[in-house]
Amino acid sequence: MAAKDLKPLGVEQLYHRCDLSRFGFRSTADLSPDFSALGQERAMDAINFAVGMPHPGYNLFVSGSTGIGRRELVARTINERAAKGEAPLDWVYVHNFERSHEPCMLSLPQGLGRALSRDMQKLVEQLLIQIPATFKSDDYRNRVQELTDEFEQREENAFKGLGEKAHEEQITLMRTPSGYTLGPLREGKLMTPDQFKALPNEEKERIKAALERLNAELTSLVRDLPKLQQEQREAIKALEDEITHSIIDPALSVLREKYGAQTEVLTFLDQVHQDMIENVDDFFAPEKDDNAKTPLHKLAKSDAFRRYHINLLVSHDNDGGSPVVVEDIPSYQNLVGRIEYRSSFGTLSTDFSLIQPGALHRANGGYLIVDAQKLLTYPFAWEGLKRALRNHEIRIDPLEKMYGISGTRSLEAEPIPLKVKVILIGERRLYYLLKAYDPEFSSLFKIYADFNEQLDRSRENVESYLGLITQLVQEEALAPFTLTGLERIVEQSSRRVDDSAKLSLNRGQLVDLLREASYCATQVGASEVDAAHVSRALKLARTRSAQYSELMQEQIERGTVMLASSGAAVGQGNGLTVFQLGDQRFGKPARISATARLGSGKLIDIERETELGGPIHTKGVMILANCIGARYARNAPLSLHASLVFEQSYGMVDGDSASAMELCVLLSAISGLPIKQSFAVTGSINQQGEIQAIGGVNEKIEGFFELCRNRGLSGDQGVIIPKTNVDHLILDQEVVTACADGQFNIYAVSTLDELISLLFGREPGKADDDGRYPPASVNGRVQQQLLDWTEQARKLSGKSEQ
Amino acid sequence: MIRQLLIRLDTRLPDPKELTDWVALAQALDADLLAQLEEDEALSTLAGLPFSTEICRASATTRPLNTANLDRRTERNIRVLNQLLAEIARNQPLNWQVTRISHQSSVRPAADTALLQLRSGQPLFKAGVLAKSASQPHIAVIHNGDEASEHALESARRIASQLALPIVLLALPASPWHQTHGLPAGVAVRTDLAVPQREQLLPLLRAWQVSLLVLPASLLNEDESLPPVATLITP
Repeated sequence: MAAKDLKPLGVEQLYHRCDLSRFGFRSTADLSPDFSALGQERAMDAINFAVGMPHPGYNLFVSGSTGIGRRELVARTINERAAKGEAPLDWVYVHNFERSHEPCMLSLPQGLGRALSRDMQKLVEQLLIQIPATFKSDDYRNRVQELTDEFEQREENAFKGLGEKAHEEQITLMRTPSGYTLGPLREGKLMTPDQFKALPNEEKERIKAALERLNAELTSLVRDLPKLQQEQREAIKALEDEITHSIIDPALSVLREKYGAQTEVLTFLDQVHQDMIENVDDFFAPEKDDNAKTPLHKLAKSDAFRRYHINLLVSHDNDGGSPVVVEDIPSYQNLVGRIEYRSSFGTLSTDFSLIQPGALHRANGGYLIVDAQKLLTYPFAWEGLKRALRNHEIRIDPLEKMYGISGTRSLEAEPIPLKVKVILIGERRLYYLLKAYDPEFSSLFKIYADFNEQLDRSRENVESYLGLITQLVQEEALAPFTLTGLERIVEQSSRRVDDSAKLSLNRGQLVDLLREASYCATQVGASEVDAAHVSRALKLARTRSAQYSELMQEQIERGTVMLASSGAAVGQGNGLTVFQLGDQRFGKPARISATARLGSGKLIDIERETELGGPIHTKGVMILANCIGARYARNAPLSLHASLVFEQSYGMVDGDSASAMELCVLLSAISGLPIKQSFAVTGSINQQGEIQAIGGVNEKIEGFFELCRNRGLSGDQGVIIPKTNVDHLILDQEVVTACADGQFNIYAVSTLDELISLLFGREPGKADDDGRYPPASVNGRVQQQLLDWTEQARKLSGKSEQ
Repeated sequence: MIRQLLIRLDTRLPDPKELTDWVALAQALDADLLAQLEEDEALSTLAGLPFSTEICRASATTRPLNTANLDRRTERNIRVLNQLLAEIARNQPLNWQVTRISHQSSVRPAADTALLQLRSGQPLFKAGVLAKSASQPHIAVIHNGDEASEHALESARRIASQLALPIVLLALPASPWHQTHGLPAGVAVRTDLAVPQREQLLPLLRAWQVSLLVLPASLLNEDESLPPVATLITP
């Protein structure tokens, strides 16, 4: 098509205006909020499906760009579902009286965990009062005294009996410092040695025989004393056991009755019962307490009674429905729990009471929401989560065990059965990486919820979008938005996704714009937000991030960066680049230059040679090189040595959006025909010479417009874009106005020939059946030059052979 | 005023804990400690017989009993007792003396001497046989309203103050504290006592976990056996 036949785009094509007048409202005050997940039907269906599936493995991975509102929508859906879910169990750990390093797990109905903990505390407190009091009671003291008296009496009677028996034989029984002795009497008094000597032998023998006999009996009696003492001790012990049972049994019976339906709790209470009986002395702590003012509840919580305590791991006494846990720091320990230690005199010790729950414990029976990126950042967190899901249980292993450096013996707590739905939120890239490289991932996370970034700008969707805006305005307590304000918002939403037929679903950006526009309105005392306030907010946002852009512009305007915006030049043209700095994007023109000479068919991409060109850029250059060959040298070798470069570009260059312009600049260099410098071009080219769509078309146009405007619009300046980008145009009003006034022009092309006709201002030329272009045409001139170089090359090679 | 605390012992070697308690009691009364080891005349006579033997209570073994080894044992015990008291005196001020007497003198102490009658083997300041219950023992004082009773009460106050033990006052009918609501200074509990006889005393002493009874000598009846707790007879 000839250049004269190509017309600039109409104003209506440069800005796809949103017209809400047919909706019949004046402002957001007249609209109802829309809480639905706009445009996310696919993702919401996936979420509901995953949540509804009762089978294992149907955990969920949610992906989508940041700001889409994934977390909010997921949380809202899950919370609604959880509210109607089953009440979760309470989980506790208790001391294992048989193997203290293997704490036992108990599950109880909701709320009973805390009740059991309180009851055990109260039991200890109660026994701390009752046991000492009972052992101080008159009843106990009297009974012990009776036992003591009884045994003392028995001992006394035994010795008394022997003493009476001895007395009958004129012998007396006496105490010595160490024991007992027997001695003869004479007339009721102890016989002196002299008296004994004076006795007849017969009498002496009688006395000796009697003493010998009675000594034997006395020895036997003394030997029996330890047995008597043992019997006394046993009797007192039996009494103490009886007293102990009389106190502890009823106390525990009350608990047995209360928790009668919980078999595990009953087993635990049996063990507690046995232990309390065996260690009743512990309950005399208040008596031994040097500081007798220690409150009872503190005594009950002391180390001496820790084994009777309940470690209430998870309690849901006040919650309704299933738990929903969002873990912000998904480290291994935060997920599966941890075992803490206490330090005492340089050593570390632990017990069941130092087991701390993780997010999986708290979410057991419900839902756990975790950021996937963070999860993968923490060592062993992903492995720990997978293991729990795979084995359907939570086993608390210390982190050092995962590292393989177990030192001191730790606890091996009984694992807790796990039933949870895990929702991972992350980027698509992460999902596909896990899918490709982690064989377990697919079996554990079967459902994928992919959030859309945009939706069609249909009437129905726009209506819903307005409802979303209304919801956000109300939630943020912003000033109401007028019709024009909303139109501007919708247009900007399309601008965000570079497509006038689409709306952006990025809630984060939408909320920010609403807030900032509302602020701009209130700053000027307006009670409603209209299009001007929205535009001002956009402008202010752009200005805040425009420092680098302005510096670049200054360099262009000062000529430091050489760029032409008028006239024509050979082997040189204006390409367009887009810069993304943070959340701001802006476009700038860039000079592309090319050289061409006789050669061996090599096209040098200087960016690639200097490793400043990315792979996509390299691909684009290769495509245009092949395009040249296909168009102009089908039947002859390409004797060309050419080079392409982005002038004064010292950073990485990637993308193929300049490949069409690069080709034109090369054609200019080959043919020697000049290119108009009043145009800038963006578009990629394929091997068939078709111009393909690119990204950032609005920013690129605005970038060149800014240069031309600052230098003074001449009316023949403009930008050439791919035709397939026309629907993406939502240009700044200033550009639209300039175009409307004929000061600036936007052209859309679909083929290389159309581009050539605009840039060169000449006929591109159409090939005949033999593939020959008209000599005067641009294509013809290119073709002819290439043929000339081929002929020269042939001659030169022939001479060299000679 | 009490200048001496007299403790009459048999020739057994006392437990070091018992010694500590006696020293504490002497210090509470600000008195010198006089330990009298009383020899048993009858035992000495028996030891003179050629065939006398002794059966040890602890081991049920038999060994000869003669005056020589009896005497040696007594002397050894006196030496050990002296050593133990010397050791205690190194760390706290104490005037003490250990003597050996061959006959029992009058139960009634001298005018400046308090006599401690011990029940053999029982600790002085710990509740009796009630091992499980470590409740605080009391000091009991029998008060008859006379000057001796007031001295006894004063002695009890000093002991109670030093050893942080509560006092239970057993008020006889002649005591001004009999059947009153008030309490004398330093007394935690008051209860009425009809007569100072064993049958009346025993239940009260048990009820209050009394491990030391302070008894004015004026109430001592030589025909009456003392209750089975350590008894401090004040002049």
